[in-house]
Amino acid sequence: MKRHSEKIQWRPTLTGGLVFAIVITNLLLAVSSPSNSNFALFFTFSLCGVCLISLWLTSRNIRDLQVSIHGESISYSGQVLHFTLNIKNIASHASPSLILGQHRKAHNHFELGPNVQKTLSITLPAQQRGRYTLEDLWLSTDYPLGIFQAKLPVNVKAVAWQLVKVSKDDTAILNDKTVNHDEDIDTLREYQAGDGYKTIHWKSYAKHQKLITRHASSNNESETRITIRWKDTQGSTEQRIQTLSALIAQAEQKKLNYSLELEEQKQPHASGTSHYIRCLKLLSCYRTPEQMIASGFIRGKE
Amino acid sequence: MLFVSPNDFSSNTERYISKSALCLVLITLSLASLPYLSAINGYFVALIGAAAIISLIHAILSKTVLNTIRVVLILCATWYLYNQYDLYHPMFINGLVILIAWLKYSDGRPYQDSTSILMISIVLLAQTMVSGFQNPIYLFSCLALVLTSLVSVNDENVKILSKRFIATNVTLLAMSLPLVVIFYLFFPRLPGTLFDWQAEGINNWFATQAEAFDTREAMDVQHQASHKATGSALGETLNLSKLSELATSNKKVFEAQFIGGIPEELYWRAGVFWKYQQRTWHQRKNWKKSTMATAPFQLDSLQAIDDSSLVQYNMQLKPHSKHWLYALDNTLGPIKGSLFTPENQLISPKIVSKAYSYSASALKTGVVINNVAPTRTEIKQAMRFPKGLPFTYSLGRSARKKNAEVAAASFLMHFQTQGYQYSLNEGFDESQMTLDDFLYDVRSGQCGHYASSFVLLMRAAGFPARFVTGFRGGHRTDNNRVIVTQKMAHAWAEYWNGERWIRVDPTLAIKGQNLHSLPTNGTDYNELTIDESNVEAKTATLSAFDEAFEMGLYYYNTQLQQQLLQSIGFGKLSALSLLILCLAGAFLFWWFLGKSLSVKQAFSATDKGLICFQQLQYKLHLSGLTINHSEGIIAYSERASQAFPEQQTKIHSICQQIMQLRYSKQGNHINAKTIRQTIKKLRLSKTIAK
Repeated sequence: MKRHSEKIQWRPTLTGGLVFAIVITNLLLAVSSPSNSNFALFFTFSLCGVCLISLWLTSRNIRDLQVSIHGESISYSGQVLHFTLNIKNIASHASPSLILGQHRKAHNHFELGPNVQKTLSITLPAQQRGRYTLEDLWLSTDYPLGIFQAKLPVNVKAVAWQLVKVSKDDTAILNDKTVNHDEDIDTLREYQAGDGYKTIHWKSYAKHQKLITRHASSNNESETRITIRWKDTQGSTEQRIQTLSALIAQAEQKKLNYSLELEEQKQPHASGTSHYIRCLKLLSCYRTPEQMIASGFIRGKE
Repeated sequence: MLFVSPNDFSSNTERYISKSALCLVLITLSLASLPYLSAINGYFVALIGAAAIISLIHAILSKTVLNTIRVVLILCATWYLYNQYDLYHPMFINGLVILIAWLKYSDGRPYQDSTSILMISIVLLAQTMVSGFQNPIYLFSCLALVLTSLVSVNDENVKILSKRFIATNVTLLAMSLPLVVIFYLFFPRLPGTLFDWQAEGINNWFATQAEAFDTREAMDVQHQASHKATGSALGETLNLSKLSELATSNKKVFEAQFIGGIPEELYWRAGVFWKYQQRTWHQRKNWKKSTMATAPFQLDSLQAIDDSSLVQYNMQLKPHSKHWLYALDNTLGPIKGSLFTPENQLISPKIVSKAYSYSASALKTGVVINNVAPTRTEIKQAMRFPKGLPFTYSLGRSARKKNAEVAAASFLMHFQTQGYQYSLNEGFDESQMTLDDFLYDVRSGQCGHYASSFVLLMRAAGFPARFVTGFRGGHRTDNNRVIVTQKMAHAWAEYWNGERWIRVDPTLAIKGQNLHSLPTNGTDYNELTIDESNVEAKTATLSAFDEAFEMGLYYYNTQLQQQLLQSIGFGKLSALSLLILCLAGAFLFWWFLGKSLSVKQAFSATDKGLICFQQLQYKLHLSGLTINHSEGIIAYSERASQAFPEQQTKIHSICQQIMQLRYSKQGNHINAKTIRQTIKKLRLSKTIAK
């Protein structure tokens, strides 16, 4: 959980501005009217009093809120992006109506009771492959009277991935040209990012004081180890990425043990859904420029 | 961007408004329109009804039809209102505003339309209040509706019978009430208008509107023409010292020839004054607006009068460069070529700059008829007490609980028994003498001083009163002729007893007055005595609450504010000092509010146990116990128990509960809310025990 470090920003709403103008005008007229204007003063001060209390209630509604990122959401090309956040009201009394927004746009209008947590997502249109970060998020409320808007900048960055989508019609086939069948390798090797903790060989760790992981031998025919390489593909960058994605998908479908080698990056051998997603993320980020799509909506930033 | 627009609050689509909210907004608009509709009346109500129906069924009408109907309705309303009022009359403009507000909902943008309607309603309500529409039920209904409407418009999922909605409104009302009372009681009441343009324009606008609110004063078309034709300004004033100057002149003012005998009592009425300021009386500035609108007598009273009750006479007036036309008190109706105000004044449309003759008839003395009740504006003006006369005010307040007749009699008795004398500027500087000086030190003055004092005393006692000038008596000659000279200039008072204006001549109550023109039969005020039992019976009917409510809401003014300030030890504060103090207080309050509302959130923990622990730490920190972030709850419990031995058991108990909540398997059965409430209720001494 991240703490809010920003201060609450206050702005009058249009309704608030009008009410303020009415109150000031009425006060000037009532206080200097030649007739007995007690009723007018009472009316004016009632509006004043209610507005001030509303200001306090609005502040109370937004103070005890906690916002955290609800993981990194994943979508495939052509699908909308979802940025998911957890919002929790730890106050036992405030029951605010809130708006979750980004930059100048409001996205979600929701209510949050006392001690209630909600998961909200901001949906944005489909983009090119890559990793997307959403900044400049805020929560605001003008409940109950709508006279003042309290805006609390949320100091978290929501992340979503747009992965390359592999269609069933994709023609990429695992063959000798695109994959290399690995030679025999040792059953023990040094730990690499992505290795599961269950594969750690603790005896070797005790002996060498470094993490050694245990892997099945290539003699086991049920686990064919293949390496999918960038240099084995042809065409434009996007075509090659599409091809590699298709190969990864096929390898995953056949439950093979595979690795991905790009020009400068490598994903070591493994299998399973997590490995599959890691490979696709690597491909999605490959050669993507860091660019700002819209204010606070950034592509390719880690 | 200074303000946040409604679209900033919601997504791309138009913000939703519930049916409940819409109903509340329309009820608020109805309530805001009510005084205007009852004042305008007639076909206009039907037009508003049509506008409301069009708004409700606009969805089934095509845009062309809808726009056509809207234009037709606005044109009809304009035509109708123009025939009823001036183009710049408040009723004309506000009437159109109300119609447009009722048509607004047919625009088809529910949220924006509802917000606009609500804002228009608040403006109308504010105008109504400034115009002096004094009805407590109306005021509180308006406040409740405005509040609930604002909350409901701002909440898309509002259910007006839900616990949340009711709780929000009740919280807002209950919490704002002390603020409202403080603002109301201590906000400085400025003695006069702030700007000249305000007195001339804005206040006249509201005064006109206030008169129009009274349906009986709705102007008929016939009189409207004369109103328009004679709308010249008459800002007449009368300095009290002028009366003394007049009394030294024997110059003839006018001559009257009576038909059928001279009445016993002759009071020639000239000007009626309402506002007293710095030794000078002022006429109502907006009197001309109600001129000819209403006869000053009720028609059913007049129908019972026969010729034997009337005095008929012909007047020959010398030029005097004023608008006044002199006539006997209780003159009936306007004479040809003149105006007759509800104040019983005869007014010439032009300044009387050459000899002027006219015939008039008046009621004989003793014929009692009921006057038409004064308007709210007139009552307010007749109740207005000037600043800077604390002694006069105190004396008047002493008769506050009496009825009007008893109060009047008690003031006359005061003049009669407390050594007051009649004198024309002898032994004192009249131009510098205030009414306080007159009542408490000098006790000697002319009719103007007595009448002025009496009027202000009556006002302080809570009864409407006004100051009347003219002439009393006259030199009788042959052929039923009476000649009136400037020496006979006189002033007297009138107070409203609930049925009619009662003439009182306080000068007659003084012993040894200068009776240079004695009416043959003046009213014998000595016969009036204060009936204490009657006073008690009257006052017993008012409960303490009623009286406090009445004094607080109806009659609270500068003097009462000063009394209140004195009672709490701020007696020497002037209005200006109070204003500066209020502004400084408002600035400090705003600064404090800005600071406190912008602070970061209080707690950052996610689990309930930690939140409770942090709350306990914060609470004890306020009482002086420092927070050590590396300290565990057990150590903290021991330290806190030593610091606050009187609460040792409670602190231990709270810490145990927090530990169970956080670490124990049975923690799920412990309610964090209960622990937090227990912490909240913890009462600690300010200093830590050593």
